Amino acid sequence: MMSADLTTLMTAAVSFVIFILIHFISFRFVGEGGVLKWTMRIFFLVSLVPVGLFIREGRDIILSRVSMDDVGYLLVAWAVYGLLSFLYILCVFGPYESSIRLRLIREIYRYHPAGISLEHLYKNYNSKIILKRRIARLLHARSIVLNDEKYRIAQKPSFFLLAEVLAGMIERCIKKS
Amino acid sequence: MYSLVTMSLVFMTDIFVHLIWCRFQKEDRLHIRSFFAIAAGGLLFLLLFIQVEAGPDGKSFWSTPLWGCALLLYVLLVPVYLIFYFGTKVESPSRLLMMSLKEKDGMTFEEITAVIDNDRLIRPRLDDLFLTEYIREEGGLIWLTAPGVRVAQWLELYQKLSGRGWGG
Repeated sequence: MMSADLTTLMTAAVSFVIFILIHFISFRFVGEGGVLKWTMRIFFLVSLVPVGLFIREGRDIILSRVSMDDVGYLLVAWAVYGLLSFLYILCVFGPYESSIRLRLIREIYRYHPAGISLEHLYKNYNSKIILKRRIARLLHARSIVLNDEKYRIAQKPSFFLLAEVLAGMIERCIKKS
Repeated sequence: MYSLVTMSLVFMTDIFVHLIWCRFQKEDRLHIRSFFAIAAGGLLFLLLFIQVEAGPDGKSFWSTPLWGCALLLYVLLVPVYLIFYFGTKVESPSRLLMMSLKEKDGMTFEEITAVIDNDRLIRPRLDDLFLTEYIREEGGLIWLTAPGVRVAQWLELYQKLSGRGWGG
């Protein structure tokens, strides 16, 4: 029988692989605006996998008989799966989907090996294109709203707000007095 | 469970030491390498600290040593901290947009594009790519260097696998 450590790690790894597979398949059909929404949906759907794998392990899942040990292992498996997925989204999928540097490399690659002038590059890819994409994404995530042709910040918590708060906290800590 | 608690304490100590380190540095830049060095020290401490045997009641979650999970979580938390640390210096377009909207009570698309233009969004990134030698300029034309071509090829492969558009 596998150790609890290995079982928990395997459970998280299998969940992560399933997350990646569903992400790769489903995102062929997801438009620009739905990226954040569908990522969250797939993430929470796959979160059920660890529960399924623990049932397969023969553990009791009838609520009244669930031991605190099983809940503990499940929480650890969820933490590992959550971090793996978070890093995949922020370090692999996110940069591909939204990095300006990577898009610039691809734009220049289109004209490889002939090269491209800066004017031509700006014609193909510019701040307006970038902002349109960002606004569509933020509108879909309801981080901003459009009222009377004006964009405003929505009065609801979002990932950007959380990132802003955490970055602000770090900044305050490292700021020289 | 104690392995996870130990890991959490070591990681929080890493962050604390890094923040103190950054505070006393003269150069106002990102100190990424120093955090890697501190985190490597923490990892070494954890590896030396490992006790594989379970406690007296080996079946209990509280006494089972989950060192594999603890070490993996520790390694995964390093880039997570760095992502938020980057946020203190790196200006992402979405963050820039949100900051601009926060400053004023709403903006039209034209007003946004007047504030956030090519010089603000594209030029600094191009300069960065020149500096890191992914691209070079010759005779008024911009070219990809060999590492730049490799990155572009990886991006093409990822696009084929994921079926997504160009991104950016």
